[in-house]
Formats: sequence, C-alpha cells, structure tokens
Amino acid sequence: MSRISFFGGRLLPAAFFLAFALIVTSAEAPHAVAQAVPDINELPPGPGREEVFYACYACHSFRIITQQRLPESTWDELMDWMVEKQGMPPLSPEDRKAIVAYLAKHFSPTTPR
Amino acid sequence: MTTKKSERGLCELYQDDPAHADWVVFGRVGHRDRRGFLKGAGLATMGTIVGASIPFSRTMPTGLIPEALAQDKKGFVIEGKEGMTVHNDRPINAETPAHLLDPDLTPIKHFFVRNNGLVPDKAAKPDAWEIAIDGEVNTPFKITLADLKKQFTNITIQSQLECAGNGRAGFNPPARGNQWTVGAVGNARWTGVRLADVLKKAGLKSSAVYTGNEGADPHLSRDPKRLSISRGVPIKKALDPDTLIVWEMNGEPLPLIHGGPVRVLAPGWPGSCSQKWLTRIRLRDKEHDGPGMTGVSYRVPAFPVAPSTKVANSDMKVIESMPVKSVITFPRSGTKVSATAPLTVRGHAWAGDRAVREMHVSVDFGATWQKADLKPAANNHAWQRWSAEIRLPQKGYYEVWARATDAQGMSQPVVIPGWNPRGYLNNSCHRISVTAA
Repeated sequence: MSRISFFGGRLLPAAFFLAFALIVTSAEAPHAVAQAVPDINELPPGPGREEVFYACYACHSFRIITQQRLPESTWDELMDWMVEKQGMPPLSPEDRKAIVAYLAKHFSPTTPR
Repeated sequence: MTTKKSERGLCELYQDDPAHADWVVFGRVGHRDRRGFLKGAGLATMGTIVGASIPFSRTMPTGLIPEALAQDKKGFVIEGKEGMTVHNDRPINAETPAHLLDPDLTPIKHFFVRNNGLVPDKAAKPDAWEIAIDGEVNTPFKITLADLKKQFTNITIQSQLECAGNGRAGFNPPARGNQWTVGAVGNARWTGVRLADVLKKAGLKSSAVYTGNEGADPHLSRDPKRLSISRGVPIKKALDPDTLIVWEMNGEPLPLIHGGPVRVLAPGWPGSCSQKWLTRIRLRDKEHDGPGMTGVSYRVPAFPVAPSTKVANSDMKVIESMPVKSVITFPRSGTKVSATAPLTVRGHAWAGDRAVREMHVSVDFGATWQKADLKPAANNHAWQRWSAEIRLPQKGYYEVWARATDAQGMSQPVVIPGWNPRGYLNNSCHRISVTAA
C-alpha cells in the first residue's frame, strides 16, 4: 500500500475513487477516453488484486496490464523498472510479493485472452 | 469459435506448441514433404470453422492459425479518432485497423497514437511556443514557433511514421509493452522546417554527435522533474533533408494528440525519435542517454538470440532505420468474394530510410508468389502504393499474404523475425482472410 501514502494514508476505497475521479477530470478531460474512472472489476478477483489496484492505477490504467501475458520473472523485473525508470515508490516486500504473484497468476503466457 | 474468448484461447494454444495445437484442434498432421497438410477429419474441421473448404490446404503450414480465427475485435473511443483499436487509455495508445489505412494519406482521425506519458494541456498561443537549441553548439538559442516558421524555408513532405513496437503482439514468449498488431503506422503530409537548417543557425561544434530531444508531456507519475521520454538521433540522421521540425499534419495545425503544436519528424526511424510537444533539442557529445535511449528500450540485440535470452545491456544496440514492411488495406480481412471474378487487392509498403523495390502476394500460403504492381513513393520516406489482381481458382477459404522487398534486397519474413527482449521490429508478412463463394 505504499502508493496510497501519497494521499495521506489508507483511505476508504470510495474516497480513493473520488480523489481519482477529480484528478482525471481536471487534468485529462479534453482528451480522455470514455472510461476514466477506475473500476477494480477490470481486474479479475483474487489475492493481490487490491495491492495491484492501488500500486498501479496511480500512474496508469489497467489496460496496459490486462493486454499483456508475461512470465513471472518478467512481471518481477517490471517492479524494479517501475521504481528505477518510472518513479514508482519502492513497494514493501509483502506488497511486491502479492502483486507479482497476482500478475503471474492472472496474466501469464498461458492465460487465455 | 463464436466467442472472443475461445478465439483467443486458440491463439494461446497455438503459441504454446503449434504442431500440437494443430493435432488437438483440427487433427491436422504435418506432411513430410511440405510444411503442412490437412488430413481427413482435420481438413473438414478447419474448413467448418473458417466457414469454407481450403483449396490450398496442401501448402498450408503446420501450426498456422487461420487468419480468420486470429482476428481481434475491440472498440473504445478517443476524441477526434474513429474506429481505432485502443490498447491503453492512460497513457493513450491506439492503433489503426489495417483496412482503415487504405487511403494514400492516413486521415488524422485514423492515425495511430503512441504516448509514453500524459498529453500536456493544449497551448493557448501555439505561435508563442518556445523551442531551445543548446548543448554542443556555438550559439544556443530559443525560438518561438512563429519565428521558426518565418526564419527557415518551409518544407512539405509525405512520410510514414511507425512505432518500433508495431507487431509486438506476434512475439513468443510475449514481450512486455503495448501489444501492437499491424496498425501502429501511418503516412501523413507534414509541413515544417529542416532540422539541419535550424542546427546550422546554432552552429554545430565538432563534438556534437547526437541529438537529445525533450517534450512537454508530463510523466505518468506527475513528477515534474521526470521526462516521459527523451530520445534522439545521430547527427547524420539529424542533418538528413527529410528530418524536420513540423507544425502541420495533412494541412491542419498539428493536433495535440500527435504532438501539437510542434514535434520532430525523423522519417523511417522508430516513431519515438520524432519527439512530440518539442521544447528542446540538446546536442550531445555522446549517444543520448535520456529515458527511452538506454537499457533494452528501443534497442535490439547486436546479434541474433534465442527466444527468452537474457541479453546484457552492453549487447543491445539502438534501432536506427525501420525494416521493410507492408500492409494489405483492401479488401478488409474476412471479406466474402466471388470465386470466378478477379479480385484486386492493395495496400502500402515502406522500408524505413530505403525504398521498396518489389512487392509480391500469395494466395496459397506462400507456396507461390505473384508480382504486384508497385508505385514509386511521393517522395523519399513516403509509403508506396501496391496493388495486384488475384484469381481464386475455386470456392473456399483463402489467405492473401503480402511481401515487400527493399532496395537492398531485404524481404519481409513470412514467420515472426528474430525474438528480442522488448518485441521490436516484427516485420513479418501481413495476412488477410478471404472467402470465395
């Protein structure tokens, strides 16, 4: 949950949605696509989904995740890339483990599209 | 095979083990003297699924997913765009379905969009937009777009622009990043000034060997100190007379989503060399090292590697000219036609910095190739129109494959070319399906 500290600590999901809805509206309205408000149901249910939701949506939408099928090692490397190249605050070891396990389980090369 | 899920499942099955997938799905067994052959039940099954018998089944390669089943259909909407396949909405990335690439000039509403960061706010006064030229130059300066238009010769050229990752979706094991298929390419008419003229005014020092571009697009993290992407080109490419700083696209002010009010155009090279929302060109005394220049970004191994190989950063080299490629824009894949009438197929071909010399099409899974008519480019770096009249000998399921050959004799491969860590430069032949009744 390290990403959410940006907003001053653990927030209720509803408040989190609202915060993003406002940011999205003000900064991206002129060129936004139809769907801009985050919906956790874009991600399949399972352990690690909430961690993915909070860590990833701060910077990008879920479609960049859900269109991909990557081996666990590549998902794991991506966590370092996000920190080193993309400015993501480092994940706690527990969050990282949960996120990589979730991504590897739901978006592996053998996952049907 | 009526739902999207089952189509994609089939693709995955083929990715894992094509020959096994053939056997499982169609009972198709490879024939010893040819690449593929449909036997008995397999032939009937595959024919049923694609909706027609397959006259050239004799030459259909083992493990080839019929194009009719491999098509993907998605729909989302970006303002000012129509009919695009949207891969991502933050950052915005969208490609053009092949049939919408049919016009010689790709309409703005159909031109692909590739962003690494967020789209900046629209400039209130575009002519007041400033670009800095600095680094290894004798006289660094800043210039407004208005002065840029006035002080240098205005040039209009056609040029294709292609994302280096176009075709990434074809690689196996899959490469990370947007899963582009064939449509991260377009050909537009651009108006601007030669970068060479602008650099001449600044006076290049002999130490200047590379450009480093910067743009106004905010980083996804919204950290103002981070650049979304900052790429450049060697001085030789920067001085190419077709390398421009442009403010018009197809006769209109450069749209915001395409980098307006002003961007670089480095034709024939990865699209990322054509920095959008240009604010600065810094001349470097070494290969530029901004975001998108280092590691495995926009680089391929210096030598061929086996799929999945971990390649050391020191063995990765920067992509320069894009490879020879073509697209079939008419008819639209999946079209039903008459078996007796001749059918005109057409599209475009391009080859980075080079010209396309020959174009061939096949309707029998690559067993035989027929030469297509190929027009010269409107100018260097524009794509070239090709067309061919084909005849389908009897009713059934066919695929049209298109293969371009460039001025150096390099041709498109019919299979996916060399695997690389980030899935760049897939220039394999485009295929469409056609059913003759």
